[in-house]
Amino acid sequence: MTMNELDYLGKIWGEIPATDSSQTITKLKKLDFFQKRINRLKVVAIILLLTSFIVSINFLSNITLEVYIGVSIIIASTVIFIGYYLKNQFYTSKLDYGVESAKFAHEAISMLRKQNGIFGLPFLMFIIFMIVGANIMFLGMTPDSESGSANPLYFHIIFSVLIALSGFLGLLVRRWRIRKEVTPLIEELSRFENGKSYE
Amino acid sequence: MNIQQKEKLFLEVYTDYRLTIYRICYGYIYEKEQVDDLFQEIMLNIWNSMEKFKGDSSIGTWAYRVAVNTALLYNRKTKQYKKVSREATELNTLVDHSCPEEHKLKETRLNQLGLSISRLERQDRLIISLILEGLTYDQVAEIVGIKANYVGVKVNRIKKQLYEILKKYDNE
Repeated sequence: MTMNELDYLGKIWGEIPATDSSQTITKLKKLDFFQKRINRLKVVAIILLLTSFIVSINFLSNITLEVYIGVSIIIASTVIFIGYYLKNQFYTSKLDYGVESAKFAHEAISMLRKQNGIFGLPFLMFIIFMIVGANIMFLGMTPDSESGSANPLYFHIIFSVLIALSGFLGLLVRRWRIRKEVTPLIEELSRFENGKSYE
Repeated sequence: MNIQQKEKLFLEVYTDYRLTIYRICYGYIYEKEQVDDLFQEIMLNIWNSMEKFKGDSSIGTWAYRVAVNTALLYNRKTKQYKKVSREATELNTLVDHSCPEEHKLKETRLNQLGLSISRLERQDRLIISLILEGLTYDQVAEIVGIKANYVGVKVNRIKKQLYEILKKYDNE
């Protein structure tokens, strides 16, 4: 084996044949068509869900103001958090694949960091608002006169702890995934971005 | 860009660069099934990114960029960081069968080269695949977005690494 043989290998490298992909264009056109249809269906489904939820709330009787306020806080905080999540979520489709790889890596890294940022202060705020909303809602659902043996304070504490705990568990899972999937990818992309490998 | 223009441009890329892109996938992944999978993903990204092509680089450079960038993020959710076993894959698909002995030697050498490349770092695999396709340092620099002299330094280092790995096959 000599260094010259690497040049020879370069020559025979060109003899590797491609797979038969004659159907590729047809498949792509079909996929394009279905992607657009699926996106439209998703929008319609979300609108239908929200409409039916609002309509069903109006049909319920004996709803106190606290329940309205509590539910509104929960819905608003969920919608805002999901909106923020979707805006900052890492989607490969958001990337421009036609740019130089170093720039591409830079953009991908900043998107991945943005995605990691969702589970900092915004997620904490979301959990706090969920707890506040749930507690206000429970105030309306467990008035002192009807509570009997139930302890409203105990009830509030249990639910608050449950929401906080599920939030904490969600955070743990997300951090584990970030460590396992995102951090190595960022490290890998960083080599392309700043040319560390080329120093 | 309407669908006809998109299809025309895609056909141009597909006809002219399909083989090269396929070999880039082969250099990057080596396992046949995954090579096909990555190739399809690249073609999908080329199709989806067609509207973003402004013409400020040649269509070939643009297509190579899409290929390299797709490979960078390929399969990041499922198999990205698992060590893939490549030993089981045999190429066995070379077209030229005119001289059986030479054909066998070529195939063995290509398999060894594929295996050797698979032991390099991910970005090194992409760079050497582009070099093996006959691209100049300037062209690789334009695709990857680093200076041409960096590419040169890198390629020399990769060649030395490949040389060392291939030498081991000779001794076996």
